[in-house]
Amino acid sequence: MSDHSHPEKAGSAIDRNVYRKGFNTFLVLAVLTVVEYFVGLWFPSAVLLILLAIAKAALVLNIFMGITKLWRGGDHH
Amino acid sequence: MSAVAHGHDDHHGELHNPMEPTRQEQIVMNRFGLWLFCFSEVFLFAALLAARFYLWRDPDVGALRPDLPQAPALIFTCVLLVSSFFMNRAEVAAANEDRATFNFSMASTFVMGLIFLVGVIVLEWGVGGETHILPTSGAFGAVFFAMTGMHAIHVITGLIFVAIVWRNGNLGNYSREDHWGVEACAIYWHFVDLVWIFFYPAIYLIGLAVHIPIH
Repeated sequence: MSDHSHPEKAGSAIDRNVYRKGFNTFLVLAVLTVVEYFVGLWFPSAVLLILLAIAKAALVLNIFMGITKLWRGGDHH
Repeated sequence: MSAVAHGHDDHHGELHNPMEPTRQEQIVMNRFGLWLFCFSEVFLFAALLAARFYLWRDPDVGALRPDLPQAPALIFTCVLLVSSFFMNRAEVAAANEDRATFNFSMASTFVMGLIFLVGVIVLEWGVGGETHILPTSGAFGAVFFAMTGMHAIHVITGLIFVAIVWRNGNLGNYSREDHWGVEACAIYWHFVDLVWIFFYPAIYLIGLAVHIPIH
């Protein structure tokens, strides 16, 4: 990172929204993980567990890994 | 006339050779290459998952799984998830030249990844403590250690990657326009998390828990 940081940019509403998007995604993933845990212990359904894993994977691929940049290009942030 | 003479002026005021990719084009190619690498890794992990579902089953009961402690697995899964959150935060910070957030997030990613790694080795593998399963415990042991071991190797390489990118960030090597190193590190780290998203239920949750004799 260069030394000429832009504090006004770092604290802008746009950036806070991008940070918040990552936090919200994390929250959804955490909730799905806990749901997965209780499903595994109380209603051990392989199909349900695999569906939960696919839902989590889709979130990580799309939001954290930014797979859409492959065909859209540019920066997703 | 040389190719350079045909070139156009880029935004730095230097002539750009049209035969050579611009930095943006280079990043697009790098990104594609990294995704191809991740895709090739999917086959490796899919093979391990296939081995798990083929070998951990009973013709009468169906899917089986070794009776392993659940609480540490859930905690370490959440720790890896938190590390992914901080990695994403670091990438956003790099894109916005927010150095303080970048440093804190990279440090958090590294520490969380290290906690996950030590947790797997000490609590799940039972190194230096109570052993639940050994690599020699039949198909269960072999598959368990192959899956967790292969994933742990990727966590180790990810930690090295995070440490290098963290250092480069401190040296001022990334900018708002060019932070490909951080993006590549983030893609790799999230891929490691992605693999665990499928490994965690496959190892700990799916199937009937059976006690594995240690020998």
